[in-house]
Amino acid sequence: MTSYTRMYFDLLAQNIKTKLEYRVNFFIGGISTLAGQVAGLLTLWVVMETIPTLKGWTLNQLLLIYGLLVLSKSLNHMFADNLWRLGWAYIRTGDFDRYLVRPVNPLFHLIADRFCEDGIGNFVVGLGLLIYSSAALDIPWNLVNVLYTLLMVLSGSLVFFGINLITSSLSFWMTDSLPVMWGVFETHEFAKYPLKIYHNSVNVIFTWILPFGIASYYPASHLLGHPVGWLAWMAPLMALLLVLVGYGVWKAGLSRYTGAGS
Amino acid sequence: MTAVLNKLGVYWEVGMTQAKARMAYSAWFWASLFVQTVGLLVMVYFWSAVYENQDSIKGQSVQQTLNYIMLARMLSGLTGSGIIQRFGQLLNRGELAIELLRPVDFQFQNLAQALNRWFTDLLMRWQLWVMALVFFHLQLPSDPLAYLYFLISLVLGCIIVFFFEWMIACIVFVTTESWGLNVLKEGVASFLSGALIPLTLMPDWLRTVANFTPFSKAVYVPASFLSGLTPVSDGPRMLLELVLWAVGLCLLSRFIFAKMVKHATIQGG
Repeated sequence: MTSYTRMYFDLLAQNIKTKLEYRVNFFIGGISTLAGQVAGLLTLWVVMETIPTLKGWTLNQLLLIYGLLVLSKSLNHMFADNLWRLGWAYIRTGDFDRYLVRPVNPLFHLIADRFCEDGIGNFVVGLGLLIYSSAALDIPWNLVNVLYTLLMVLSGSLVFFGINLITSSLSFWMTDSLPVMWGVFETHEFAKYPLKIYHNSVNVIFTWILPFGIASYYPASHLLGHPVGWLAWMAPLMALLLVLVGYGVWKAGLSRYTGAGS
Repeated sequence: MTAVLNKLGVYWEVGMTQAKARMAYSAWFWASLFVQTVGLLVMVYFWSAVYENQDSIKGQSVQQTLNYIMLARMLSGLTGSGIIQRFGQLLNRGELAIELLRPVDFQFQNLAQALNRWFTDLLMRWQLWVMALVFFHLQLPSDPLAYLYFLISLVLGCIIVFFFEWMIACIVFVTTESWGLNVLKEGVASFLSGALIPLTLMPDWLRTVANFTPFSKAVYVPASFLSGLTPVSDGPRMLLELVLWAVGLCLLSRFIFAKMVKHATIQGG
């Protein structure tokens, strides 16, 4: 375990060095996702200027949900981005064989091989929103709340990771599952807003099947003192379940992998 | 006359390559349709919730806004022509010089491809239109003029966006980075185009800013004609404005390209 940890940071250091070789690109990449978030936030701000609450949620409360979701998403973006490239950059090209001849877990190797600086922009936005909205809402940052929020954000990022792992592993069967991966990933848009604005069926989907809401809407409700009961604590369990399922799909796919002929 | 027709024929054929390429990747087509449906659903639920406690906002009813939002959502792909990624590719693969040697104008060739791709995308989203009409009660105008102005403003708007993006794409010659540039542009475009919120609901100062960007010309203007936010009596004036934008940006983009292409550094080998 110690060797894997050190190996990861060695690989991470090398990746960041190669990125900084092109500083302008690194900067543009880091700021680009920031611009993407501005559009969504401006929309919320403009709309909430015209109405007092959205289904009972004020602007600052909406920003809390938004911030939690974006924060989770950014961690996945920075550290597990290589899943997006499994099909078209590794399996299709035959490069994946390189991982299989090394005495390291291939999934670990794939993930450690890439740090995506583009996620930094999302991280800054997510953290900023969390701090800003919680200050405006007088949420006390005592030890319990800090640990709770950390747990929820990490769980949320693992939810993103688990879902991406399932969809990217489909590449072992269809060579390039990027369209499927992208389609499923984009459903997280539903979790930017309180789940209660949707029809009940949508609620169920984003709480239990693609549980992006379980790590943003319910934790936000809990921090605000809303009575959501045990749903406030489901995120770690759902995250664990998804990662296990994802790893299972990965192993099943790996067992039937045959290198692309060349 | 024959020479002109031959020229147009060349651009037509160049453009058609995009339609064929688009339809070849059916997995992407279905994924895109799904993602658009997700976006449509989120927006309809969001705006329905916004209007839950009031009959109108800034004089606009819930039906007017929902109408507009659904149309804008279906047109939202028009804020991206793909030219920024194209420049990135050409530079990375060292193909720029070859492209510039062809006996077809480089910019207009790409414009033909972009227009065709946009058109193909809109057609391939017919399922989305049916869904909007059947499930979300999208209401379309009865006046034929609204459709005419819609189509004309749609084409002009796309042309305007293309020329604007051409100027942004020229930055690739200096940075060699195109993905981040495109995401940066997408973030700005998606809001200022009116794809997320009608310009009529924005504060005055913000509406002014959005009106001075090209993206609203491709999404807000056509969508507002079809949804009725812009009356057909405003048609001629709006179209004239679009034409002026198109001509101005065309000249400016060609000037910038001529300057920036000198800075191109071909990668790899």
